[in-house]
Amino acid sequence: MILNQMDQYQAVSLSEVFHALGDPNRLAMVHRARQGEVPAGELAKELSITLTATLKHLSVLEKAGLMRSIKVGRERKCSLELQALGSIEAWIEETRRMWNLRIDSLEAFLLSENEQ
Amino acid sequence: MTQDAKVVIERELKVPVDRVFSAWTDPAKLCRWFKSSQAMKIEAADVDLQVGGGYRIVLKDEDGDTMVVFGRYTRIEPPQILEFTWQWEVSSLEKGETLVLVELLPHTVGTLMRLTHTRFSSERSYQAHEMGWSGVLATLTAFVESEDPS
Repeated sequence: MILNQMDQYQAVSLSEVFHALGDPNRLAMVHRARQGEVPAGELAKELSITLTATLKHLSVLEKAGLMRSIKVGRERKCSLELQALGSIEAWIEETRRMWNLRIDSLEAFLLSENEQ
Repeated sequence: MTQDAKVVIERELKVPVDRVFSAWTDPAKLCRWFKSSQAMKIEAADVDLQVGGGYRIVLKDEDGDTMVVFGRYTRIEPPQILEFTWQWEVSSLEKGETLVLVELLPHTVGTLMRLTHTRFSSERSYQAHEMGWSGVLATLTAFVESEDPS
């Protein structure tokens, strides 16, 4: 039921999520971030890849809504974003449902005014 | 996630723009339609229609539970534009303010109404919710957790 209701927005996100996780380094980054906030430099060291490569992977994960990062001084701290993504999609779905019903009610009211 | 979440709904209404604007801003009229189910009752609607002025609508759902939505007006350009903040007194789905923009465009049938509800991405708004995508994500999380990167 939920899958049928997904709008384009969400479908794009879903394919982005799977693309993002299709790479072993990115999967490892998500796995590592589950333990808590981690600086990008530390991720690079643990994965034995360059900081540049790590930041590129990070950008893919951020676009897919799986991770987020914030610059603190000279460091970029990365953390997991799974919950936020779930929450946003749920909000979109519920908000759309609520307004559609409310606008149905507005329409009925406006037509009833016509008859008065 | 860094982008804002947004819902846009367009609907053609067979009445002129000023009638729709009035339905959105007259508290007596709001009391007659501002509900999202037949069984819901609108107990009160208070409106202070000026930029910076507030509104507050008290709803009672089919179980008799009271819900209150409130906010303040940020743009009022009768009869075409109305923008206001939106906040539930208690909600499992959102915390903090979101923003609703109602645009009423003259149209051959009467009015084309475009409603845009935006939730700005910010830490305090985020909350897990067991529906929709979170189900897919729960599966995904379980998958990620079962992987050993080392």
